Amino acid sequence: MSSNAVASNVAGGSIKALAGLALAASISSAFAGPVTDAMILNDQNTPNDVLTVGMGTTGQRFSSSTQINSDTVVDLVPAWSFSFGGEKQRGQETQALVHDGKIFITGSYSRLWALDQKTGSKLWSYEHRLPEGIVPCCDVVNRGAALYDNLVIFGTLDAKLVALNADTGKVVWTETIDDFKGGYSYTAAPLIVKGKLITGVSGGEFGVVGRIEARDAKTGKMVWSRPTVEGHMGYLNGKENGISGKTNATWPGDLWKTGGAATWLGCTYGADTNLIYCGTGNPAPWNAFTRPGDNLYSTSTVAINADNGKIEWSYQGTPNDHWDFDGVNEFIAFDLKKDGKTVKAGAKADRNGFFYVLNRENGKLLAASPFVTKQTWASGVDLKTGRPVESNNRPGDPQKAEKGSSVFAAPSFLGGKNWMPMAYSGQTGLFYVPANEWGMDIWNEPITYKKGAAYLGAGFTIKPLYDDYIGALRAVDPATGKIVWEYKNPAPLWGGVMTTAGNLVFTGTPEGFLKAFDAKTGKELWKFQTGSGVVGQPTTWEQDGEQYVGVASGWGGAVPLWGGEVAKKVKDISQGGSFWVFKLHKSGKATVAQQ
Amino acid sequence: MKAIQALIAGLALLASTIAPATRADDDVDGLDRVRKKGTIEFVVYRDFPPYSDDRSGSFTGVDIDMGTALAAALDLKASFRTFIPGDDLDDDLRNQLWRGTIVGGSVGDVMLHVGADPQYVARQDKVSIFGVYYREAIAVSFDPKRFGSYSTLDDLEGHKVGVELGSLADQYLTNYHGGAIAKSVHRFPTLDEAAKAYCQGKLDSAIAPKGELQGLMHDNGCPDRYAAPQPLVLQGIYHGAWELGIAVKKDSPKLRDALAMAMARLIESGELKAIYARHGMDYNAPGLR
Repeated sequence: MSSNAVASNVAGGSIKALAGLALAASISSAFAGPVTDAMILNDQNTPNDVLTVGMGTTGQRFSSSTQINSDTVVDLVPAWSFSFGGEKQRGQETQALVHDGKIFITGSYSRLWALDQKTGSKLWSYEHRLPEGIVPCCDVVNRGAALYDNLVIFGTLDAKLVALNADTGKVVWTETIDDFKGGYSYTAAPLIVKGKLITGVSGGEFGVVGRIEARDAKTGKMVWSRPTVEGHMGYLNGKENGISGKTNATWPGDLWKTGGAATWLGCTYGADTNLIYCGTGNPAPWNAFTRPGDNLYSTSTVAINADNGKIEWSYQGTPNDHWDFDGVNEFIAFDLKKDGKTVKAGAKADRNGFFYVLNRENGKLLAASPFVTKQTWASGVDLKTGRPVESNNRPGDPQKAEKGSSVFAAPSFLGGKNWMPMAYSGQTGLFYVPANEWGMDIWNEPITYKKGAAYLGAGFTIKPLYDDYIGALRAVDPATGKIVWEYKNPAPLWGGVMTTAGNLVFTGTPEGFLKAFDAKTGKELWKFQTGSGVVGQPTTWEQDGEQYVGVASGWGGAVPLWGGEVAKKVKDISQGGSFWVFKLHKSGKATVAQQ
Repeated sequence: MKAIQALIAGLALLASTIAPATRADDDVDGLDRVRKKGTIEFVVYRDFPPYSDDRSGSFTGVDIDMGTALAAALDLKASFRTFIPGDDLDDDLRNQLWRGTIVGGSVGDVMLHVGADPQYVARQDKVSIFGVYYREAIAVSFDPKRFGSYSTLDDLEGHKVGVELGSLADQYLTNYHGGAIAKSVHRFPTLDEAAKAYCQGKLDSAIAPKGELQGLMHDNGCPDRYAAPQPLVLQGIYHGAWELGIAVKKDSPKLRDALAMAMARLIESGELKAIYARHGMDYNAPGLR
């Protein structure tokens, strides 16, 4: 409409023709214009765009596109590639968003680019100016942006939110999540729910208190905040909105004031329940002997009412965590078909090695099964109480031990699964879980210092469980907990998974490959060497009758920082920073004949 | 005093027995670098009274005075940089001395206030920790008016004890006898805030590293009747006492030796003791091993 208005006001055929072209372009792109809540909720069903990290607010990472499928995938070839440039060649954990002829992709060190969807050429870029000396705990990654209205919104390593004009890249608003000097950071992709921007907080440093916040996505103004540690006050529209939980119910003394439970991986949303599902990190301090109790809502999934910011239910995977089993992993809503019934369920593959299936309306535990081969810390989960059956695998009490007693625990603190999101296919009914097989020696370390003073730290050494592989992509049947197939990878898996209606599962490897597997059998059907380790999240979209697959390549993240023996195994992987786009090969002759 | 002399002798011996290091041609010892600049940059913890604090606009504190004196001994000017601490000293050494932070990435020449347990020193392959100058120990101070008697930590039950959040004192007291006095522990984001509350009479006791607590009690005008901090003996695997030293990147043995000699002279001449005294603190000579 605006194109017509311009044309009628300006004399001259050439301009009219130009306006006509613009109009045609906007029609051909079916979902052009501002991104609305309705579009976001329908994202999973619209193959022409990708509006959300997770390919839909539930985070299923499922695409209905079938052009690229288990028969045709052998013909998948690169369409174009974009280099992020600069010297910051590390840690590309992002997922692309596709809308209105543009691809939006974030990079490590808080950078964001808009690319032409057809050509891959750069339209604009935004490089956040990071303060010198910031010490984000867990590398320099960014896990993607959110689209709303005419804005692209992402978070930065110095704990800020930045909203950019999607057409120009100009800053529309910025908000500070918290003080980076206090250890706060931000790496997750924000989530849009009903016009609100939902974010958590990142930070490994002592004193960080987890919380979920909802801001007006158009202005950045705070709507509600909900702390994820019991005893802290929540707020709604600037007014007190009740404390989380009950003070001192599961924390002694005033330890709840700084209880950890950082929400560093963000949230998913179930429109049918109007609940925002967020995972929470480990409690602080690290040593569990100093904080007897369950320490809610650490290492939990917390379900928050999207409108009023109140916790409706929570489920805790690792009460009184002593192994650094962050419970931040994504909770993915799906319909569980079992015994002829359909249950509104959700699933989470936890760092602690259990694959949990919960009723997503009330948080009741339906099933819990291991998705890794070894769990030393618990023998199972009691379905009646929902609690783990612990197997006496905690490091010793530092007051009693003469020497720090070391225990071997599996999974390691990097988790049976870390940040990298799994995928769910309603077609196969399977979850595709990127798992890792490693354990750790863990002990109380008395010879370490903080600000020039001795303190009791944690010592960890990560050890692979097997000689021939660490990573394992596993297809898990949520109805039975059985592993239907697995693909073993030498290096740890650290990238996201995607599945499609074309009977495919995609994921990347640190060895540099993007790989495609048969969704039913796990047979490896295709791979492409991207030049650096793939720790990004693949996605797919359709354009002009062709299906595309895109993934960021660029080794990094926590493995090289924390991996111990494992880090040695991956030290020769080249770093990088680029975005690869693939489509099915068309013969050059056929293309000429068409023209 | 005897101990200090022995220490200095030990340091001199160490310096004399160091073999000339073999290095690539493009490697420059930190000493040559600072001589060329005319300035030596000390890395100090931010917002950290009584040691290093620039919130008033200029640097003050024991570590500042010590750095200034060390620089003067090397005939150099001292400059200081503060930083955001990482989770532990490993992070700080990496970010501030040998690798640099992920943004900016520059490093300083010398780090002060570095924990120097021999096992910790031996673990380092990127930095040298040396010039051990001070012995710190977890200590308790209390207001005698609030206690009928004070002999053991059990007497803290029912009283308010201020500690820095996440500090060794916090860990130890919370864990003490299965949490017997955990409810007495009042945690503050910094020891400075705990000391303020203590000196204002809002707490009955405070537990922290002795020197730090003594300096902060002095800075915050604690009543004279408060007991001077007395070291505690900790049970279990906790290390309740430790030495402090300084650190440089391992590729700079000349700088290390020059600073070691300068530090030895500061200790021998009593200048270091005078610096501590200026900030209301006793000088606790390091133990020998």
